[in-house]
Parts: sequence; structure tokens; C-alpha cells
Amino acid sequence: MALEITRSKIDSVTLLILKGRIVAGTDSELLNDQVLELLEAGETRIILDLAQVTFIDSTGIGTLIRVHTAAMRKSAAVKLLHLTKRVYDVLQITRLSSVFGIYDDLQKAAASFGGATEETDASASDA
Amino acid sequence: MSAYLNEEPEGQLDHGRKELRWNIPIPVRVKGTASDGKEFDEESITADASPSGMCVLLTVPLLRGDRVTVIASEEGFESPATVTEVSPLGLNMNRVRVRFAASGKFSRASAARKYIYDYSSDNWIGYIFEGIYYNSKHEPFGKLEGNRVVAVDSGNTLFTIRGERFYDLRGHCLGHVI
Repeated sequence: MALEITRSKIDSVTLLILKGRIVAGTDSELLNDQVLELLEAGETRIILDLAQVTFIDSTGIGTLIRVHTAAMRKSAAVKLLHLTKRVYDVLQITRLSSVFGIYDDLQKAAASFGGATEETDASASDA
Repeated sequence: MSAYLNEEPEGQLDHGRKELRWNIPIPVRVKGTASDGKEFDEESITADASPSGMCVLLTVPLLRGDRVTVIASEEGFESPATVTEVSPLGLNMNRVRVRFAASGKFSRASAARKYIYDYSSDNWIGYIFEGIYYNSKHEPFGKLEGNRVVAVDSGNTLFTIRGERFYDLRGHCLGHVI
């Protein structure tokens, strides 16, 4: 099953919901391109929801590393949400679980970026 | 700041190593020719680093003795290196340990992101970037005020920094700022 990515926005946070496999080829490239596109557009808070990701191979892991480091370079952050046990185990084996912020709850993941979300909320209410 | 990687706290070395390895995730690019003869250029992250070498997660097939080039852009570092160990992780991914050529000595002195490295756990517990202290989940947790890092929510001092080390409120050294 090819990777499908659904994009949505929650305040200042961009949520990418991934469905399928993150493996070598177009799947990994699609994820890489989408995240880089967001970073180029100035987005600094990105959450990848991996609840429906059934498999990730080494290229997929490499893609996660690439988007993570690309985000770091732009003072942005990519956080991971709803990892399946299988994907979590992969990140544990590779010791990458300490590299990413990993969450089970969307609100906590969104809040983990810190104060600017509140600022967005405040400006929205002012308007 | 220049001596981060050269300082060796007592009791931190084991396995007969001559220098400390820091378990910190540094973005790096590794390029060269893989054991299958194909040229590669892969972005990845370190599992650990020391002044003379690194362990990097890579998907390319490499063998002990292979020559590569390691680039750590945040530190302005580039050096030829030799593969000294390859440990398969499964999933077609390897932990590749490299040793830099004699001319290369890795230092984080110029890096904007400074890791707070805890001696007791032998791991990083957070980092300071642009005056903000982030915890290990990359959450903004405190801010730097002079030589103190204070909690964002309570304003309480979390720890203090003197030189390249950080201390608890009683003045006990807890680890390095690297």
C-alpha cells in the first residue's frame, strides 16, 4: 500500500497523518518532500501521526532522520505521534527514540512546542 | 568552550578507551564509496561522538577499512575518516564507527546547540539553543538567565552553568555542557 499523507493545521502546528508504509522509493520521497515543503514555507511545528504506519524500513528511518535534521537547521521541530509498537521498536533498536519527541496524545504533542501556540491563540481571540 | 570534548571527567571512561564518547545526536553527512562500489552521500545522525571519531547510523553497506568523508555542518567540521567497526542493527541499517584522519579533531565549540550531558546517566538530558533550554523531548522547559537555567513555568533555578559544566543548586557538578 502506497503511503498516503493527509495534512491539517491546528493553530500553529501542522499535522501530517501518514497511512501505509514508509519504505525506500516514492513513499519516503513523498514524506521527505512534504516536510521540506512545509519547512520552506516557514512552518516550524510539525507533527507526524504514525498510527496507521504499518512498516518502516531503513530508508524510512533515514527519511525521519533527514526531516528531523532539516527541521533542526531551520529552528523547527518534527515530533512523532501515535507510534505503533512495531515502529517504536524500530526506533528503540536504532536508539532514535531519544532523538525524536514521541507522544501518544495530540494535544500534548502540540503543547510540547511551547509558548508560541498560546500566542497564536491569543492573537486569534483578539481578532 | 574549545575543550568540551577534551575534558575527561574522572570515572567516565571504560572499555580501555583513551577519550570520552558523548552519546549525542549530531546531524552529519557521510559520503564516500560503499563496499558495493557505489558512491553514496547519506545524511544521518550520530549515536556517539568523540574528538577522534563517531558512530553513525547508516544504510549503506560499508566494511572495516573503507574510507569516507564526514561532514558536521553545525560544527563546521569536515574530515576524511576510516571505518573501524560496522554493527548491523537489522532493518538494513548499520551502526558505523569511524575514526577521523590525524588532521581531523571534532569539536562542538562552534555549535549553536549546546547539550546538557549528565554524567550519571551518560546521556544528554536536554540542550540550550538561542537562550532556551529544551528537555530530552525537545520541549522548551527553561531559559538561560545569566549562568542559571530557570524553569519556564515556576521560574525556579534548575541548574547553573560555569564554564563547560553544569551544577545543581548545592554546587555539585552534574555533567558537561557540550
